[in-house]
Amino acid sequence: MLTLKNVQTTYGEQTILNGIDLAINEGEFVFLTGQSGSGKSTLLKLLYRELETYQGEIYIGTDLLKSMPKYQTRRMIGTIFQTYELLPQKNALENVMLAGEVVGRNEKEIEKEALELLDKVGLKGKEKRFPHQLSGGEQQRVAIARSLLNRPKILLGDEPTGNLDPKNAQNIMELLKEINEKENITMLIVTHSTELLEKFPSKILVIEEGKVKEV
Amino acid sequence: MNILKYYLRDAREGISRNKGAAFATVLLIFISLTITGVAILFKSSVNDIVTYLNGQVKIKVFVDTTLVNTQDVESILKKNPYIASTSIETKEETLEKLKPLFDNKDYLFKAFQKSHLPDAIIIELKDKKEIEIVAKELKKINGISDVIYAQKFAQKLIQWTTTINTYGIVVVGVFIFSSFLTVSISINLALYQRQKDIRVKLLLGAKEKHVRAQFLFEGFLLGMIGSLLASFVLYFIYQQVLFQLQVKFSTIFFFNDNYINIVMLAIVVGGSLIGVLGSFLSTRRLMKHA
Repeated sequence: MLTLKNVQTTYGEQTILNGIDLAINEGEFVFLTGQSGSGKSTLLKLLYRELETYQGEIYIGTDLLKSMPKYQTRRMIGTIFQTYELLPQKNALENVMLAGEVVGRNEKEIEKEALELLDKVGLKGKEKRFPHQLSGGEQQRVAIARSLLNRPKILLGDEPTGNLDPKNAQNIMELLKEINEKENITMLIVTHSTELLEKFPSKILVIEEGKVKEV
Repeated sequence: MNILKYYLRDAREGISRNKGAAFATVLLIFISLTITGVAILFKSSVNDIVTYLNGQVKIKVFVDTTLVNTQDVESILKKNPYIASTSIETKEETLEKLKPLFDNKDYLFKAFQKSHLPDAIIIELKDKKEIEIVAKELKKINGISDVIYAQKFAQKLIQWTTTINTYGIVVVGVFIFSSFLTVSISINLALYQRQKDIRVKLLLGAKEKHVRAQFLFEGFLLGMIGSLLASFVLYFIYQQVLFQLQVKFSTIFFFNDNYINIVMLAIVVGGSLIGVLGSFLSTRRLMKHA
């Protein structure tokens, strides 16, 4: 599903990723870990194309990432962040619906799906609440629901539990695991937490000195 | 269709989040285009007056009766090949024409009668094109104290309006440029305020052109609202001033509903363009960094 061939990128004169070769299969749940500044987020940014300056090749399925329009890549890849990235002026339902609106889908159809997704992530009854009226864990659940609305093939998580207490972090990870298993969505989740790595046995990739190793 | 619906909603939300700047933009566009519209209507009125004056073939000459006899002057004029006809307007006839101005105040009228009023000869030309040449010749005739003809006023009117137009174009230009700048600043402010919205939308797979189009649409709306208000004011001016002038002086002014409609349409199109172009310039950077 996701293939990286000899991917290299630098920041100024510093090499961040130094020839990464990686293959993640469809439906796999993969943790990506490493020290701060090791290049975990940079790798994710290359995948969701916030960074475009790199050498090497990245494929989604058989499609070369650079050859497809940026918006198309982002419709295939859902992303969730440590900071949730919800819009404060929109309530939970509207935040989820936004994903469908920006790709021009029918309002009624996306409203129905957004309600189902909010129910699935455990936020039934809280659809009209604004982000400031929700806990951190609940906000991340809204972000997860939003990332799933356009049925992505891959879900990337850039430290999605980084701002949460251990219990909420575990709940979010359980939710992601459940979605991964039920929906067969490929997931690449960046985390620092050894606790989560132990509790959720999965393929673990470590970035060290610009290279990726499987442990 | 769905996208258009979302544009409209987002533009409405965007404007309400940025009310102060939106109000300033609409106000400046309204002022600029009202002034522009008034200038267009003014120029059109002056053009009508100039056309009317240029269409006149009569010349009025005043005769100094202390030097010559009015009939003698008239007989000289009749020999001029350019002149079709002449008629004398005596002091008494002139007074009779002026009488209504005194509004039954006989004592004033009697006092005015004692003043020196020259005789006048009204001359009608065969061809209005010759009016300048004939007027120059008439001035040379002994006993003619003054020569008055409509084109003389038309020339002065053209001189004045040329001056007014020159300054007017500068003023209108400054206002339109300011409107343009205000739209641009307002949209820049909106872009700054909504950085997160833009980033999130792009991350969710929005096309850059759609995100940009929302801001262009917002600029268009601001421009259109300002210009619609300006066109309403122009229509009011047309109804209350120009239309009334036309009723009273139907031989001079030739406005019609079609004309004012075209002016109003041009104002609305112009205002909308100012909005879109101002926004277009502001969002160029968004496209570069999207």
